[in-house]
Amino acid sequence: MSDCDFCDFIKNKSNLLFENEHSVILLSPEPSVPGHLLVLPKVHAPILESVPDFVVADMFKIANKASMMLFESLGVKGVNVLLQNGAAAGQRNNHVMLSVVPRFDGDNLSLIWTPKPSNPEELKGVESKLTDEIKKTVGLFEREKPKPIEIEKPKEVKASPTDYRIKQLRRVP
Amino acid sequence: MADEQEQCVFCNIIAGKIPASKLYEDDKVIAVLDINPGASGHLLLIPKKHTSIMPQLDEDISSHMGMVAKQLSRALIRALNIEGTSIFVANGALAGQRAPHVLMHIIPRAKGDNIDLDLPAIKLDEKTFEAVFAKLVPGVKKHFNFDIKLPEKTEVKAPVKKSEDKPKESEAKPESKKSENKPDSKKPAAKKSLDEISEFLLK
Repeated sequence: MSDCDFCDFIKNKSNLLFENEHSVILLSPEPSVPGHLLVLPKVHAPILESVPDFVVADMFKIANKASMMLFESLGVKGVNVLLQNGAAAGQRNNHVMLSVVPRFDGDNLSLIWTPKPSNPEELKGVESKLTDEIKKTVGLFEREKPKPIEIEKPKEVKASPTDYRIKQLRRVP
Repeated sequence: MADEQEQCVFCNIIAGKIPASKLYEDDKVIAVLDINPGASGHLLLIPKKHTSIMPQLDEDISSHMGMVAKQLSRALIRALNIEGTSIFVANGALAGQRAPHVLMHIIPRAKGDNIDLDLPAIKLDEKTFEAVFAKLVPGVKKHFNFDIKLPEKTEVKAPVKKSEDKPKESEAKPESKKSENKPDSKKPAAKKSLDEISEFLLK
């Protein structure tokens, strides 16, 4: 048992639909609708920032395929992919997860917001606040470090004293 | 450009024909400020290749979008001093998709804002849970080429917390639909549609 319920799920392979080196898909133990999937990094990470870029990439690739699977396997007409980053965004567990949620007619989810029309000045203001930070910090991605390659030790050549290769070496010029 | 692309607002934004506050661009994606934001700083991350729905995206683009979204989210948190972000994609009209071009929303969040991106937990009976799991097994094989060991009873943790008082044997025995239709005293409305969903899934 660890402190994190989801680390336990991963370790015990409970509700596990898929796993690879970096990520797993679980059938959510706290679903919002039947068929609610969770894509989680195997490594324990409480916030998105602490998940390495290449693991995030793997999670989104998997979420994409998982949504395809939900369309086909469950015959649904809509799928939402949602990452709740921070308590204010509804994150309830201290293990980062990406929800892949099949949508049904008459389900009780809204997953919607009211768009507010904005004026160009407002947008300009936000743009100027964000430009520098984004230029500085977005675009360089952490790739997975290549695994050390095990080099096989060269086999010693056993040669008998009569081997012509050795005989030649012993010959005094 | 094909017709669909010519008419696509987002393809036109990418091509620079429609002005937008572009904040990030690389060979695969651009990010712009949503002109009708849910919150100030709401970003749209858009794949350059016209793709109408996320499952049609190439793998390298969906994974790239994830990495960019992570970094954009971090930049929003730092630059706008916000409490969190929601990263959200809608696939299909039923899921709230309005434009025929894949969009990933990155929305700044604050406690008590009016953005409803909550995922409330429902009660799901063990039978439905296991039926859904079984339904997904062939899909996992097809899309991930992964063999799941079919869950034994002990492996699947159904989310239902059983009530303290055990049902009498006479009640527990018949595994008919009746047990599913038992009205949930807490959320009668939610339970009703959940039954419909379960029925749809189990048929």
